[in-house]
Amino acid sequence: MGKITVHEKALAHLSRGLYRSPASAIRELISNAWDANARIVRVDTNYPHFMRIAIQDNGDGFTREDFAQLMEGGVGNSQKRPRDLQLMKGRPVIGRLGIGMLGIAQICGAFTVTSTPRSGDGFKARVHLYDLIKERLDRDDAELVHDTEGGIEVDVGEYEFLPDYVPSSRPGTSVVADDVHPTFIRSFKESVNHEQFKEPPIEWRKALGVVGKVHSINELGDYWRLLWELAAACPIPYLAKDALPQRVVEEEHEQLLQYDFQLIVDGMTLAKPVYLKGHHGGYTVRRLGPYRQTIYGKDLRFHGYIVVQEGEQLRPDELRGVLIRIKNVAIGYYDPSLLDYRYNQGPRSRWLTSEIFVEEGLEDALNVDRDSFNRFHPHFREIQAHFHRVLQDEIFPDVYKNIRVRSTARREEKSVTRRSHLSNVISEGVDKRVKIRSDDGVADARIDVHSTSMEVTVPSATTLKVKKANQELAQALLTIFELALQQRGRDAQRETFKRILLDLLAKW
Amino acid sequence: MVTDGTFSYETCLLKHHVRTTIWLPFARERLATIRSATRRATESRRLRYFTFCAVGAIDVLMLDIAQVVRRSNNGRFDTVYFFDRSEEYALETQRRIPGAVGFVGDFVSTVLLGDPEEDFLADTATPLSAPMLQPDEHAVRDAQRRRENKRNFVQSFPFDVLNLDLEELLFKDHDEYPGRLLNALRRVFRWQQRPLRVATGRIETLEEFTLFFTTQVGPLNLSDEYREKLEGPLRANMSRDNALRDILVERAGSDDLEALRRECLELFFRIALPKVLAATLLENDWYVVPDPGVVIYEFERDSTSGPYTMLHLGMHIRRKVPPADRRGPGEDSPIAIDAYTQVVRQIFRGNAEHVTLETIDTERLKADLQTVFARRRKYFPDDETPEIP
Repeated sequence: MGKITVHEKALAHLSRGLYRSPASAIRELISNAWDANARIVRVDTNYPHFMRIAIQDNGDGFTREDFAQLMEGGVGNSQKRPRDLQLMKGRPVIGRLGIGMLGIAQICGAFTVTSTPRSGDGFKARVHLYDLIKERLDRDDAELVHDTEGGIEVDVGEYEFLPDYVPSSRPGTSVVADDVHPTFIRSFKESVNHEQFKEPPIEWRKALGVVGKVHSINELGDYWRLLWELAAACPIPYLAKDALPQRVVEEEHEQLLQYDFQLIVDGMTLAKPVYLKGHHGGYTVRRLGPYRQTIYGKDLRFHGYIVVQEGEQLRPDELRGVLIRIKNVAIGYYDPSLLDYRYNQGPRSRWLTSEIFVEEGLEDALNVDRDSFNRFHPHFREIQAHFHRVLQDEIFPDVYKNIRVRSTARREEKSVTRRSHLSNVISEGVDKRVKIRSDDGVADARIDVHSTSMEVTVPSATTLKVKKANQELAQALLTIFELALQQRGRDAQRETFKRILLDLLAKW
Repeated sequence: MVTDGTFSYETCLLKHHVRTTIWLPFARERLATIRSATRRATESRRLRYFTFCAVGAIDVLMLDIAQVVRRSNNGRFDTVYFFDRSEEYALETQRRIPGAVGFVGDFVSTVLLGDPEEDFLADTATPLSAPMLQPDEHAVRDAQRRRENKRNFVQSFPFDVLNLDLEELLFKDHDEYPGRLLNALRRVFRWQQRPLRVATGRIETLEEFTLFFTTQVGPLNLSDEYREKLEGPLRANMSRDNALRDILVERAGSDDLEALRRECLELFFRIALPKVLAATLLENDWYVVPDPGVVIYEFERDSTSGPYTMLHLGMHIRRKVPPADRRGPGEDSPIAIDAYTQVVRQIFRGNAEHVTLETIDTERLKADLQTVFARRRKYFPDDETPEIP
């Protein structure tokens, strides 16, 4: 039987065009830093000019030999990572494909890597990725595509070690991308020059305050989107353990703090961008799991939460939906389709945010971009089914119940206010103290006049055959009409009716 | 990881003496002038500072401590702009002064890039637009970025304080007179006339700024031809102002410029350097304010090729009145010409303060540097504080 193979050219294409946003490409380098036991990763974008992007970590670094092997041994060769790799403080290993470093090719054509390892020789190397690679691969450019004994090899670029390497006093790695594509620079510059742009405060908590005021990150532009996406995607703590109601993320927050991993972008120490607190309508909260299932012989374990901000759209809208994290790294961003939930919930779906933390399994469902899933993978389907069950059986019934409760309360509050308003306008109209009563079964308004006061009985709502929403208005109109009839002469009746009616409607 | 980008003179007390006795008081005066231009303190804008601060950013942090340079409400040093040759050093600098705007490249090459006429298009032309015919190749992108870098730089002007702490020679033998650096300064002084858009959206014209300039005395092997060209303007000054002859005789024992440039080159440079700078400002519609004129500190520094003398110049600069666009052809500003005459006399007279470790208060400077390092650690906790010898 013949074997089916994937052509190297197809893989070479992956070195460009793998990620859907700059944040996704940068996230891969941040993941590398995590796996290198870094405590701090600094991303510098050269804001507000964006002429270069630098990612620097204080992790283990890697040697000149490791780097040469990575470059020449085939990018994406997962064999380079020892299977028994143990990370500091119990961190899970999150790197998988090893394409991370070249992923930055999406936004730049050349970069410099400098690394000082804990032991062994450090290096400084310049990586230059070939231009127009897709076109050249399509025409089998001999400079790129070679036949070798081991099969076809495809070169995607060149690297050289630079002589001016100076070992740092501390281990770590830096990647400085200076050949940033002009289109990227222009797009980011335009985003910060836009009239709606707001300069991000260095303090991330304040920056989230800015984000929390807009409907969508789009209003703030590409630079804010980069910050927000990095904050959402990377394995960094929340702003606080009570960043979400009922402390549903307390455990994750504590765990992330324990991992001791900081992400600093342009001087801002980022934290997860979700912070829901103090909403007047309250929140509906459900914890998901912990859930465990074995599917096709492979374990799937996950837990999470669903939070609904009752009666008000989440801000920004990008928080809406569900975000799946594998080993604390987000796969894509919040999915507003709620994993393809079949029932249209209208505006209510904009109130809901959720995170699912997958501890085991699902990795095989990852697409090569690490930003999306094969939605027909059994593990994905299991999570989807469980999530939808909770939505349908627990979340939305509760949400609807809460809507009814809120509506009733609002109606009652409104009714009291309107009754008081009716009393005031009548009182002013007749210059007497007025007491409003309602008796069941009374079909017409009744007016009992005393020397200094008046008792007004409004018609019972049950006797009025009008829409429920109009019942109170009908009660008020009939009462005013009855009151006007107390006057002598048609002119006086008309005048009294008109005056009280207009006063009533002025604040109805 | 922190790269070893700190300059060795970060802990140099002579240099810090210059920072605290020229840069700080001059910058304070500049800030006071800015504030005096508005009726209410809340209307006053922040001081715009350009520097070659190097990784340590000592000058910026010193001005931050003195509240001369103020961060924005968002905590950014967004009125501080700096230039560095290397991406790595620029990155390290930005980490120590978060929010400062960094430019990378060779300062002189960046300033001189492109036609001077293009500078007028800085606010409209967009070098980053995708070209219609050129391919998406490194060389094309690189050219786009270099022009954009230049454009960003031009757009960042004007500054209230220009700290051109270049530490390089103003005159270079291999340069065609007056040299690339001086040509770059001409452009920089022209860009200082760009309109200044303040935070409220109001557009201001900068009437004054402060200039710091650092240079070495030399080169002592400058060719005769170049020296002759430097001598020409000095001779012209002397023919216009007879008092200069007496001043020179008093200082050098002779008014023979030719003999001076042949036999006493160091003194020749001490006069020519600040004088060339003052003349360059004058030709670009600025003049040095005669009080205090050009304040000069000089000290010696060792190097593998022997000691050399550093000159630190500080001066307040004012725009000519009336400005060029309101003067008739061939007309100049009498106030500026008078001020220039006074400043040239001061330069001929020589008022440089020679700084040595014996003349400075080392303990005070060490304590001051420690305060600066502490401030730096506040913004960048990973900072490796150097030991002051």
